Amino acid sequence: MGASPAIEFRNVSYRLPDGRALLNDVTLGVAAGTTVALLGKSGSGKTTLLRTVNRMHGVSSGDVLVRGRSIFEQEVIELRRSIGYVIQETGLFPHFTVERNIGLVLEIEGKSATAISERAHALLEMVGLDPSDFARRLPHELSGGQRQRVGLARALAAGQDILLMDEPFGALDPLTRAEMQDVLRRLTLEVHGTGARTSVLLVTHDLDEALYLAERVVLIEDGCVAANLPAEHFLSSPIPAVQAYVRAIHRGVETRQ
Amino acid sequence: MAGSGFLQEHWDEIVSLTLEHLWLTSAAMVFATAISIPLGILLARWRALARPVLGVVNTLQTIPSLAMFGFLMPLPFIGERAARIAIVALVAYALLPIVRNTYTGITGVDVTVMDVAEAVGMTNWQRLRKVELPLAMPFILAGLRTATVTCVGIATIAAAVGAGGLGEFIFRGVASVDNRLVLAGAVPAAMLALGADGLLGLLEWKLRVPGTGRP
Repeated sequence: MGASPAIEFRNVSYRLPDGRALLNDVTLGVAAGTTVALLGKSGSGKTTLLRTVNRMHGVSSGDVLVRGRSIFEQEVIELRRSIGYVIQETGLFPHFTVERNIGLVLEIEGKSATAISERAHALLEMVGLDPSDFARRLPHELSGGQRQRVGLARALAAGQDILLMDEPFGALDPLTRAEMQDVLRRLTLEVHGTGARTSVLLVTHDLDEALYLAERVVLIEDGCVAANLPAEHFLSSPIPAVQAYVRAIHRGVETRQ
Repeated sequence: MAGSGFLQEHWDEIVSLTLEHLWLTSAAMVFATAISIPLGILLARWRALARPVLGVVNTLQTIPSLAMFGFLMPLPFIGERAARIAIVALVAYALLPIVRNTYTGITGVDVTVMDVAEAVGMTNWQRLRKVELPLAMPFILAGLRTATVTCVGIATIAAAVGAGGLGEFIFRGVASVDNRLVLAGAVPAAMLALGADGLLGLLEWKLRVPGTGRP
C-alpha cells in the first residue's frame, strides 16, 4: 500500500437540492494503519461523510480515494466488501446465527462452509465470546455488548483492512463501552495476523472515546472541518470550536471536585 | 340409519367432487402464487407502483363471484371450459392477500438490517434471497393462508358454471331443498379449508424469525 492513505477525502461537498450543504469542501485523510475520529454534534455531517466512503451516500463534488484509488472508479460491490462497517444499531440479521452473521461477507463471496465456520470461530475467540456457547445463537439471544462484539467480528471477518464505525458503542453503558474500546484496539492489531493494523474511520460524539482510540481527532461543524489535530494536541488547542467541545465534557466532575 | 345410508349412497361422489374441488383450488393457488409473489417483490422495489396496482387488485376482490364467473364466460379460450373459468376467477380473488402481504412483508424489513445488507456488499439478488424473502416469509405465508381459504370457499360457486367441485352438492341440495346434500358439499369444503389453513399455519410457525417482534 506504501505511502497512500487508506482513505482520503478531497474537497468533498454534498449539497441538497435546495442548496443547503451537508458537507462543505471536506479534505482530510486516514493514514494507513491509523484511527481517525470524526467528532461533532448531531447533524454536523460526520455520518454523511463516513457513508460516502463505501458509497452509501453520494457526493456533489470532490473525490474520495480508498487505498489510493477513487471510489468512483471502483466496482461498488467489491469496494463495500473490502471495507468493514459497524453501526450503533449493529444491524445483525435476526434470522442468521451468530456464526452466519460473522461469516456474511465470506458467504456472499462464495467461500466454503467449513472455511466460514473456522473463521467465525476464530473471530469469536478474538472478540472474547466462547464459540461453543455463542456460534449457534441468534442475535436476539445476545446482550447489547455481545451484539456489538459480533458486529465487530463481522466487519473484519473477510480480512477488511479498513473499518468504518458509526458511533459503534454509543448505545452501551460506560463500563461495557470501555471494554468494547479495548476489544476494538486489540482487534485492529490482531485481525490480519500480519502485524499490519486496520485503518479506522470512527464517528463519535464522545471526546473521551476519540482521544482513547484515535491518533487524529477531526472536529466537524456544519459539514466543514473545524479542526484536524493529533489526539495529544486536541485538549490544549486554542481553536474556539475545540475549546467549546472540551469545556462541554467533565462539567459534572469539575463541579463536584 | 338414514344418514349412513345417504353417506353410503353418495360416498363415491363425495370423494370425486372433493378431489375436483381440491384440484380447482390447487391449480388456482399455483397460478396465483406464481403471479403474486413476484408482483409483490416488484411493488416493493418500485413503491410508486404499489398504490395503483394494489388498487386494481383490490377492485377485483370486490366483484361478486357469480358476476365474475359470468364475465369470464364469453371470453375466448378461458370461456371455452368451465374449469378454466373457475380457475381464472379464483386466481383473481387469491391475488390480493398474497400481493399485499408480500409487499408489506418486504417493505417492513428493518431499515437498519437493509442498510447493513447493502453496506457489506450484497448484490440486489442476494439481499432479496438472503434477507428480504426469509424475513418476509411469515407474512407471505399468512397471505397464502388467507388466499387458500378464500379460494376453497369461492370454488363452491364454480359449480354454477359447471366447473364441478363440492358446490355441485350445495346447488343440488338448495334446488331440491335437501339439507343432507347441502351438508355433503359444505362439510368437506369446510374441512378442506381448515386443513389447508392448519398446514400453512404450521409452516408459518416453523419459518417465523424469533426476536424480531414480527409474527
